[in-house]
Amino acid sequence: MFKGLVGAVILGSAMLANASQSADAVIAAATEANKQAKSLGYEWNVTGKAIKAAQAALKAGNEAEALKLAEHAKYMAEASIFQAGDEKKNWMLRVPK
Amino acid sequence: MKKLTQLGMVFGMVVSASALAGPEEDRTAFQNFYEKRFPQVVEGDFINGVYSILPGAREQWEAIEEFPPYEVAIEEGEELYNTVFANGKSLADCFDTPAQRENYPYWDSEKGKVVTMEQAVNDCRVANGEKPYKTKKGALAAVSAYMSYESRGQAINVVIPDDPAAIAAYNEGKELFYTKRGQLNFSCSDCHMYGAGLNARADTMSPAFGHASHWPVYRSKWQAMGTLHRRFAGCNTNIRAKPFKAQGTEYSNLEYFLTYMSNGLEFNGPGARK
Repeated sequence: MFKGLVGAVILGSAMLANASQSADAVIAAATEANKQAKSLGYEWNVTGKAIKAAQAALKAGNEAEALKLAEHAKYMAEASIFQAGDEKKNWMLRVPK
Repeated sequence: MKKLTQLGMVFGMVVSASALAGPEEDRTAFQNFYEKRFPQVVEGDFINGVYSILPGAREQWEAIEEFPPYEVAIEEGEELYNTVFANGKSLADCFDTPAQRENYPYWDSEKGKVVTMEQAVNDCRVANGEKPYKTKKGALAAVSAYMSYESRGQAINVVIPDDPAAIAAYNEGKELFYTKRGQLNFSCSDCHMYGAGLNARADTMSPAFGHASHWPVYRSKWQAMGTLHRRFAGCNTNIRAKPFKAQGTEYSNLEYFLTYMSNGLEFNGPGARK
């Protein structure tokens, strides 16, 4: 019984530590992707706010929320990079002839 | 399949041709687009923006223009224009006349960039040891209002010199106008060309032909005056894109393109808008 309890606590701590690390890593990846979007001139004004919200959740110890927010921020940053590539090829379709 | 490939090639050639068309071909196609879309608009009336296509709203706007909300800014701008700097000079020493709109924006080959009238005002201040004005509202919008008022009736006649760097700046402005940005994935042209006359929530989107004629503007939403670059930044924010810096390269090039597209119309700033 005692062994089981210790095991559960260790596993729980390991999971929390892992979630925290993951959120940290995803925030870093989102920040990096957003920097790239900015350098391309395609940064969205919602991405930086989402990264800040993820950082705040992590600081408050809400790892699961931080991870969720960071993943959303990373998705938006990557989507804006995709938009940059797509628009480089397609903006001219809108020029009237 | 062969036919599809051939069709694709032809489409690609047409698209490439329009993307690479010169400024004058661009301007003709741009103006033709609006003239075909809004045949009821009297020649030259696109300078009145959305009021050129909305008769009901025009009546209200004309009533506002009887006691224009930008009048105070014109007076303030005149005072600032003649205010003596610490070195004894003033803005009036940098310009032969305040009626300067017709000379801007222009390609400055020495500086290697587009210079807008608002930038020239700030350049004058800096050259005389003064701090530049903030670029979206306040004193710069007031000086711009006075200078625009003095310039009313001047013809828009932006020149794109036969200089690869000037043409590149023009093309960058053109690309920005037609490029989708922001989380909402909109380009300037989506709203103000293909969406002109349609509604975005409660507002009708204005035609881009004539967009550059009437700045700065007293906007009811702002309860204040604002420069064209303030409006560019506001539009970009609305589509959830991070705006570029006012008077920076991107918006100056966009102003260069947009003003060139309105060549042949008249400057009628400052204006009043919702």
